Amino acid sequence: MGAQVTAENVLEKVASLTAGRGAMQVTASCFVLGVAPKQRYEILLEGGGERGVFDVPRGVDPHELLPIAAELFADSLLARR
Amino acid sequence: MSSHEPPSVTAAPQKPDVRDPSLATVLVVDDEESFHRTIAKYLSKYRRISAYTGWQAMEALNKHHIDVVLLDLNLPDTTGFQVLDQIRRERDDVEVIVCTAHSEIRNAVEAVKKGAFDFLVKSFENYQNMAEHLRRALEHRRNKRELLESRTQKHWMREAFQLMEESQSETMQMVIRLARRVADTPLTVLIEGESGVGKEVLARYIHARSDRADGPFVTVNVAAVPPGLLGSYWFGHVKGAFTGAERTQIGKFELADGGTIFLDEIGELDADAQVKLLRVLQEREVERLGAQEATPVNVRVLAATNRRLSEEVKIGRFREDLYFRLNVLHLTLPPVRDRVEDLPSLVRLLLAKHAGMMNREAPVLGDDALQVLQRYDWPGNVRELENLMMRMCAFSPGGEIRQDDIPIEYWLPTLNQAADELVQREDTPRLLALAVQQFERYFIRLMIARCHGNRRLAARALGISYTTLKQRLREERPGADVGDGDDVTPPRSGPLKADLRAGRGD
Repeated sequence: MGAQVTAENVLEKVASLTAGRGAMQVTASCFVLGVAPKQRYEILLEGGGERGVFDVPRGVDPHELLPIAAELFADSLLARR
Repeated sequence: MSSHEPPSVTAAPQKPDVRDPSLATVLVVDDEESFHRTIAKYLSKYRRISAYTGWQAMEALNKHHIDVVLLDLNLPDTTGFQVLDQIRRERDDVEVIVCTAHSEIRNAVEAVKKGAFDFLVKSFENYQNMAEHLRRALEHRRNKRELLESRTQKHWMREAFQLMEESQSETMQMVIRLARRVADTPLTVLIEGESGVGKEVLARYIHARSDRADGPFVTVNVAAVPPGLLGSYWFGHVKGAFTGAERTQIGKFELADGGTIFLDEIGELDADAQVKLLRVLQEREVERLGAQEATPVNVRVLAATNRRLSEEVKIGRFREDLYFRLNVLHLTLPPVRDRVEDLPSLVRLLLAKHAGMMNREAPVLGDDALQVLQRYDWPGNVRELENLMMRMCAFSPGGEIRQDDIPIEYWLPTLNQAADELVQREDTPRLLALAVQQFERYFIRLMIARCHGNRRLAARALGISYTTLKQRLREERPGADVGDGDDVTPPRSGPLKADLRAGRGD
């Protein structure tokens, strides 16, 4: 059986930031997945013991979305506390 | 035939649906028996009610569900125009086709001006085309009704949005603030909350505040779709994809293209469907069953559940990778018992909504009744409150809803609280006797209502004498005239709490 080369194997982190309010800190990372023309971005959100993954639709700038997603993820965690 | 004989009914109209002619009901108003006999041959597909005078026509309209009226202009007791005027004044859900032997243009103009859908001259040709005339009238009626329903639904949805925005509950305010901020992003939102809290309303709110508001909002109730059909339902199929696929059909995701898809009860997805959804969320494209290529879709996904999905993940019933993709933004709607401060505005909205739908004046909730509702824990949340308010609109149109009007099941927390208070007192009254008396009052009222206000019939059904029944009603409302008349009276539960506080035991 040959090597399992899939889109997931060529995952690369292209951006990362930490955001949050007070004690609620979250890390948002942006990964690029796959190769053209099927290349896509994925945002991974982590914090407060929770994890969220957002597959960025084509046509949406993942770098622009990253801080907004991080902030909203942190606020939604805070709202549930 | 006598002009005041009751209208004859050829078949009992039941749940008419204008899409199926056999279920539509046509009221034929004409004084000539020969016309009734002739037209019956051409209306065999429809339920038909015959009236021979204007008075009978209005009686039939009040008693039966009529879809279309076939109206003659010459009637023994009035003119067809007067009947048409009255129908238009009282009913906007009935189409009228004037059918007369008098073919003058001025009659046709007058009929249409007064709101008739069509004007036909009595002729063999028109009789032969009667099914087509009726089909068009029913189609027109359905379009009118759908437009009205759509406008009404939009109106009440806007009111519900406003109510959420003006919520007095801190938790709710926090949810709404977040919802407003997430609306303009493409991020996936998971809405959690007990059954009936208004998860779909919140999803619609997010859609309405988003830059996709002009796009479609497609709701998919996951639990309602049989697992075997889910693939075709979500993604569509091409012609010939399977036996019976006679034409290409697009699925829900493609229908929602450019808008929002709301996946309700997402926790009910089986393992296969979870894989399918995961793939759509990752790839943002769908593949119709039998298609060679995938179709890209630009869809914002909102999901809702009344289960704790994180718990479902722990026990292995829900895929972790799918959960992470739904868990990007997580909004939890509070149950009604945790936002009782919103009850007055919720009640006002629901009473106005249902009174409007029933063409009645909205009743007003009294302060004492509100207290009873605020102590109740609302396991069915807003949906349960809505059902109660619908009942209140039916029973107390235009009046004030008092605590006596609230059905007994909503009193239990109030009774518990009163019982707690009484246990602390030394002069504890006969609590059981009070509770029995309370139930008896409620049940008597219930039976009277069930017997359409006929107290003699209610007394017989209850197995008590009419005198005893009247006596019970007098005890309930001292000084009130409980007379001999039959009226429709809503069931009341009685002011038990006031009795308990006063320590009255019998």
